[in-house]
Amino acid sequence: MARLTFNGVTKKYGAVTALNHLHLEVSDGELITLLGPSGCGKTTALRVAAGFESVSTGTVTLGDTDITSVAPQNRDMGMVFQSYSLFPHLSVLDNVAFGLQVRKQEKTSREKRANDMLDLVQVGQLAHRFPHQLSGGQQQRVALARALAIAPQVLLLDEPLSALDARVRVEVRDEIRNLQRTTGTTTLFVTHDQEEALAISDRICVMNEGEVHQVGTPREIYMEPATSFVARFVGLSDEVTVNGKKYVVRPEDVHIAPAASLAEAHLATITAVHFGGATTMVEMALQATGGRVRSLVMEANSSMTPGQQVDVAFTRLIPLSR
Amino acid sequence: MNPIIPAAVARESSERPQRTIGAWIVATISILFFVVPMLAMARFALQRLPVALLGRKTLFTHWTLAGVGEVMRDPKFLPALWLSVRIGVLTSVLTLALLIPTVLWLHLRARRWRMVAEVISLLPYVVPPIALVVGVAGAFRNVAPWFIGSDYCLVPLYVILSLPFAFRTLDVGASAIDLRTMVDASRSLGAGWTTTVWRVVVPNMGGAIITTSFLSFAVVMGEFAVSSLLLKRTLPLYMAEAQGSEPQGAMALGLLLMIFTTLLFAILARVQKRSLQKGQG
Repeated sequence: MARLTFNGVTKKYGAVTALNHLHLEVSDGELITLLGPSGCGKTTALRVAAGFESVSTGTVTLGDTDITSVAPQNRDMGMVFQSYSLFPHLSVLDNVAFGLQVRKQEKTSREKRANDMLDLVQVGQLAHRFPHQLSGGQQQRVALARALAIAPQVLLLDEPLSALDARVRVEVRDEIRNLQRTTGTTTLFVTHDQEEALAISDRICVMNEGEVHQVGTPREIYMEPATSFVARFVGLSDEVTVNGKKYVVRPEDVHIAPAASLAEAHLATITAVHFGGATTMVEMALQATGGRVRSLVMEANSSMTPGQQVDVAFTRLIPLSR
Repeated sequence: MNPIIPAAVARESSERPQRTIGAWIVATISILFFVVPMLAMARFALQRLPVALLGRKTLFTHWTLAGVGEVMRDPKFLPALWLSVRIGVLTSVLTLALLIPTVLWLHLRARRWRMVAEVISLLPYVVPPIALVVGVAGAFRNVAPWFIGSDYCLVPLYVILSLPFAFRTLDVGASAIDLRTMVDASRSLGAGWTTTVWRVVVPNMGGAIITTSFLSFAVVMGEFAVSSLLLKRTLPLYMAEAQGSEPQGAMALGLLLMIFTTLLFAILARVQKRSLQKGQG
């Protein structure tokens, strides 16, 4: 069974601790995203899983087997990289068949498998082109096909979408999710893009400075952030103090009404109005504390202008534990 | 001036003819600098005329390859050529065998040692061949006299002499590709180190590898001091000797050697260009 587990993995580079006692279990067929800002240790964790980095302490297990000291080539994991990693001297077909050729699979069967994989990622017609003749999105699709062609036990994705433009990014992202579901491959996905993480993951592991802050479903991470870091990093949020206690509030949970029209409301002054098409973001300064709150308004209300005084009510407050 | 044309474009277009003329002057001077001595050499070597008669009137007469033929018929010529070729090939092979893993290691595992390696690779420029030979001969004469006795003792010495060119070429070749990602990708697909180097790294550094081998080969084909000091009868040594008995023939041979290496470099440039086109599109 392809269950990938980090058991108290620590990775130090000299005095710098890149990973601090990482405990994480990726269940069979699950897609877990490691989410965090750059330098949070997410890529280190992925490279430890792939075998490219040794661990300082702790172990990595695949199923019940300890793979901590197994060489990358013997781990049976497919990987897609942030930078385009196709071999420039090989055609698309040969790139995808590379892992199978290394496994000494016979030519006709490996080419059939490679063609099938290319069809699966919808670039079957590009089989005989060379990497430099492909767009970024196509290259990453081929890289995905290449990683999946060897039917790996675990798929490792190291920010595979970050080099792509916004539209292609969403396309490839959805495709990765579909493929992962259909093949049932245990997947570890690294990204710094919270929207990507929320859209693609079964569970998200939010990291900062080598530490895990929270592991949970996208809904849990967004609705019940365990730390102020998670609250700030995932989704938009503002910190407010109500009755002497600190809370985090999401813009969609901030209700605006004309001044003095709400009970238990806070008086605020509109500082900016950002029209965003379907929704409008209204920025305000609370009069009591001067703190900033933002409200996501569904209908563009032309009456809201900077300088106007309004009442705000919080429909949901997230308490900050740490 | 048309105000619609941006200033930079206008400046460039007015400067362009001047720049072209400047480039042509430089190119012409460089060509003359190389071609005139070669032409003089060719006339001396391949025209069967007393030197005093080599004037404008005789520019197109009395050309012959007879001198080359005479040198080639010399029983000492072929063994010298064959020795140089053997040493050249072995030097290229050993240089690549030593430097490819070294450059990979420096790029993948020990980037901060690259500066040190670069400085070490420059040492052959600083240490004169005579010092190298005296040191090596002195050290090995007592410990392993058979080594100094063998013609092949030249190979490691020539590897050292070609180090400055070879290291730099391979280092640049390795920097030009995303080596780490490529190696990681290959290994994650199940390829061990040997397969990775052979099937992924070498094809993508093809240009640099070919250049390195040709450069090492060229060093061997032109090196005189070391082989002379160690009394090995290589081609350059033979040519120097032949200059005494058959000056025109020896000169002709030198000219052929030069044409041969130039062709070699032309081929190499083409190969490199092709591999670059393949890599970048």
